[in-house]
Amino acid sequence: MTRWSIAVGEWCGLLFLFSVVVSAYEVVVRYLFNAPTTWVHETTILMSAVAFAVSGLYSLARREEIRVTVISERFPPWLERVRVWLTFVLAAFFLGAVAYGGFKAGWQALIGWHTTRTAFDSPIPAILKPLLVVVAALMLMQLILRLLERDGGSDHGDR
Amino acid sequence: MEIAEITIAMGAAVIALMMLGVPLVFVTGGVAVITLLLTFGPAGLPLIASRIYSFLDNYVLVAVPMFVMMASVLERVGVARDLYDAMHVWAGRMRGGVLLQTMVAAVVMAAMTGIVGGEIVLLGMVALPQMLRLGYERKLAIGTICAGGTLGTMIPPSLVLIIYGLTAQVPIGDLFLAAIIPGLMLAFAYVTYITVRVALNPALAPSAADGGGALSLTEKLKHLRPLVLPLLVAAAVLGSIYGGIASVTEAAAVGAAGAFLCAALRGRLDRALVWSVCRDTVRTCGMILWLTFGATAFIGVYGLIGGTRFINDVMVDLPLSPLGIVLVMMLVVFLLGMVMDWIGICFLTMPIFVPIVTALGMDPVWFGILFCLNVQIAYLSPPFGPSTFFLKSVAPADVTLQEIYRSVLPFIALQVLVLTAVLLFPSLALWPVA
Repeated sequence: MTRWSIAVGEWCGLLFLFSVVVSAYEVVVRYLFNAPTTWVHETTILMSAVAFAVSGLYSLARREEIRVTVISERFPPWLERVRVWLTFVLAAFFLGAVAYGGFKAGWQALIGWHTTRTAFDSPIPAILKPLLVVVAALMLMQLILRLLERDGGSDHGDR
Repeated sequence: MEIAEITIAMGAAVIALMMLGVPLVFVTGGVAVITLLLTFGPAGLPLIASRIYSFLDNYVLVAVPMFVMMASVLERVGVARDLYDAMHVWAGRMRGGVLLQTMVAAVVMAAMTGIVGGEIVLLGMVALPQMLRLGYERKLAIGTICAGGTLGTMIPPSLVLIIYGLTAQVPIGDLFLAAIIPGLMLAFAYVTYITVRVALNPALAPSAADGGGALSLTEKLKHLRPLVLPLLVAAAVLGSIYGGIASVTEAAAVGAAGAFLCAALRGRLDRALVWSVCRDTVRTCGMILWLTFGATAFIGVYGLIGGTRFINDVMVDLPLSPLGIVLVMMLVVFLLGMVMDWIGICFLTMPIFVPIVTALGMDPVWFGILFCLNVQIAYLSPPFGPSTFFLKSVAPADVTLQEIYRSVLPFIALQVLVLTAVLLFPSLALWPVA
């Protein structure tokens, strides 16, 4: 799963690239040809937001979360275990709340195919709300897997 | 429990867990959810996801990956390196030339990209070995690289200002305008400091024997040629924002597209480049974006239980003038900056501070510049100074973190000086905006 998370994350980089391309296109057609589009604005938001959401899974799989390591680098093994478990418990609360609390809204948005009700009427809520739930659940799974790995999720020695 | 007690409990929990080394996103997010469960019960849970959703549904946020992408392309095709080389040729035989050239290169790089990590890593790999070899005083060399590289988030385009603009609901174009003078003041302060130190004690820096002073003017100009297009791209980005032609996101897209164009003209635009650039972007965004999710959940919950109003009352009741209150806020940011990442600080404090500042009749744009200057300090100040870590990761093995900490101290003093100046004379920041 770790490898899979990383692969999905890297593909999401292309969404950012695509946002750049269509936004640059929008600037060109608007200023050079005076023909603004209706779809670029919301499409870039959607693509970037999807990539943002998934990127969390990516950095979790690569163990690149931002944290203060100055002190924990010198932890004895037992304290490092405490740190790993504390991380897991707090993450379970947070990701669990995102997944559980967002489930109802996400499900409704997906089933009812909620859209933005704008000129372009894109399905941002219908895609993004359920996606957040899914990503949060996957991140939680990723963390459980990390606990099961040989080093028990300790960061000692892999930097 | 009273709100004061909850505030203390939440704050203590966050600081303790953070120091233990729990990732910041889970510290803030986890504490938020536990607080929510204890105060409102499970009924409050949908709040977390809905806050994250409304944060994501934001056009300005799209500028972040685009600027990251632009920086990554320019860095990978070697623009920063060319810039440094060109500065080397132009600095010639000046005493302390490599120090000054490093600083100038850092400022120009900051205007092109503004990713602190990339700048410091590059200067640490290119400039530091050279300065040590030429016999420059170590601390001055190290401090120059750390302080110069950190300017990336002060001089527009700056991710710090974009994120501040998002949280404080302030036009990012205004912030970029207001940051120019304070940013240049910082750079000028550093250059002055270096020049004075070197003039007082010539032993600190040799006059460069291997400088490019012997080259003719045409030779010197030739070194600038590979920089023309990247500089044009940077000028186009800032120009279109300042000119009000394009939104920040569109300008960022143009910048990223222009960076790819530079790569293409150098014959470097291939699949490998595109992949590694995309990967850089996802990495950077993954690290910072989820951190903001945790922080936005935290501040959402805290606001819900009345914490924002509580802090507001406490601050306003302080027996201080409005300026004194701002000073207290800056002190809070400074102290947090010693242990915490700037994005975390921004999302935790600014939703509380900015409304107070506005209510006191002061300009949130000015306050944003103060925050940004404070982030400059946070990047350098131990124990959690990202810039010092970046340099440590590429510096020769005999450069210790302790030595880096000691080297940046004078530069931190200069940052405090500039921060104080902008605090006392808001027009330094606001003059171009009005």
